[in-house]
Amino acid sequence: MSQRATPGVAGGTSGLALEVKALGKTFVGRERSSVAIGEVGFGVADREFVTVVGPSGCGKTTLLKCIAGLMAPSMGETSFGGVRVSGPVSDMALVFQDYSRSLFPWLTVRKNVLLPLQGGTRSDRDQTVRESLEAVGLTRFIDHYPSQLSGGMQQRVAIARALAVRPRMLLMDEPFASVDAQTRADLEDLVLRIHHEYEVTMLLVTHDIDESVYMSDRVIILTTSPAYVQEVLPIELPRPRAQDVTKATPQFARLRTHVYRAITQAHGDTRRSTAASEPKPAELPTEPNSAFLV
Amino acid sequence: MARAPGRLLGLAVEVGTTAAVIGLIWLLTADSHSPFIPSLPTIVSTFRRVWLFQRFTSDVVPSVERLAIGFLVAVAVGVPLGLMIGMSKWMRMLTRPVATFMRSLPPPLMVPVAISLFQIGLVMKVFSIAFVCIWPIALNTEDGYAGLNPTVLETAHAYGLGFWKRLFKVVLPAISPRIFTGLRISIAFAVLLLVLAEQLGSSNGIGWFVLYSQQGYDVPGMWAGILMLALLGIGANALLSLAERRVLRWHFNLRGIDV
Repeated sequence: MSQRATPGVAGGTSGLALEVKALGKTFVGRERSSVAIGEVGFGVADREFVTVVGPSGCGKTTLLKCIAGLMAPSMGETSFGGVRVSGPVSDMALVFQDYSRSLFPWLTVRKNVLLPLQGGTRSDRDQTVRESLEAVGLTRFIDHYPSQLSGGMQQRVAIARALAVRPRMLLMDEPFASVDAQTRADLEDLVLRIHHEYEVTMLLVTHDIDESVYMSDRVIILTTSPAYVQEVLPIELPRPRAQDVTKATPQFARLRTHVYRAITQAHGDTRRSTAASEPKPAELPTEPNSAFLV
Repeated sequence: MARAPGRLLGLAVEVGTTAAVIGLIWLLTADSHSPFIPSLPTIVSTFRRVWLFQRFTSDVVPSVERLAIGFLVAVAVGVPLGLMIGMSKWMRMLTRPVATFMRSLPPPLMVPVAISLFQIGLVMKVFSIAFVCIWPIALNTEDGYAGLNPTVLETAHAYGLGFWKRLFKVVLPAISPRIFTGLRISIAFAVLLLVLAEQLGSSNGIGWFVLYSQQGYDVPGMWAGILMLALLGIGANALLSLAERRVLRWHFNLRGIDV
């Protein structure tokens, strides 16, 4: 909070898929109000991969919900394709962190993916479901129930469901936070491939610094709660990227250190450099509103 | 496979206990001279004489019909009512005092009211059953809705599901375990109210038959009627369990019970 970089809208005025303009969110309670998002502004160009990174509890999920139209911001607005977002937009698909809730356990994989589809004939929709599951490599499990699949596979079904609506933009809220490291790397590469093949614009929210650098064209670093944009960092690593090659380059090391320092600085330099790269909630300065934010 | 012996043992214990209880009653009543406690074979033969099939259509069928209609009316009113209360803060504020009052009325109280409102007939019995059964169903539905994980509703919202799709594909399945809890409470009330309604205002039905037999000093008939009522209760519960297992298959799978 020592630094409040003015939110600059990056990218040209044309070709911007998404524009977040001075967005703020305050939760008004009976006893007290809490500011989750101070003021956040940035733009995402068409087909760009942008990651929002910030410490746990800084308001990232709230920000994403406001952008997706699931929550009304207290100030500012989001525009998507030049149109103000006032509710969920059919061209934007959201992948939730908690796949065990977001995938419906009473529906098979097929019916989960089919659920949001409308229009077209039945066979058109079936075809779309099949193609989306093919993209995530799960056609074999089309008639399984989510509970019969592993966590990573369930999240792939959730990604397939998002793809099935043929969105121009994918919003992802910590989509790999609850899977193991190997699965996480696989899912990261899957999302990169989808970004490339489907030519979708991506906005990913994460607290994982390596992930933010590895995936993105640009990383937006948020301050601790309430969130402000601290820095916008372009990632000029060549694509296609690979876990073993990309992460071994000195450029990658330099960038991740940069993001790491920016985030620790946002904490007011209270943490020693030996601390893990992922801040634990317990280490965050306790603020009255931290309970609100996930 | 490792569990099979355990399951078998469980079954053996259940069958064994039941057999032991029946055997004990048999022995204790075998040479009973009390007119009020007939021997088990007397009850069984009376049961067979009365219900197979002399009084089946005249008494069992009407009872089953009343129970089924009353219960279904309760479901048809209770579930939508619970959903409306759960979904709207206004509905909650408007209905809460009334609902609390209605719920706290002792169930038998409504039978005389129903008789004076609707006279003796099918409507009065259906009303008596439904009026009591609605509340456990509505309250469990409302509670289920209130306890829904926000991500479930957010997902439906984010993917632009329309009202009916959201209701039938997301909300109702999500809270169906809670709805079934309400149904199971209600079915017990339904049988209770059926008997009361038939004893207070009916000239047929199993409940009426029990009272009629008792008043006519036909004690074996009374016991045969009680046995029939027990079977009716067991049958209704079994039917409900069957429906539950079908509808909630996903739920039991989720809790680690085999597919």
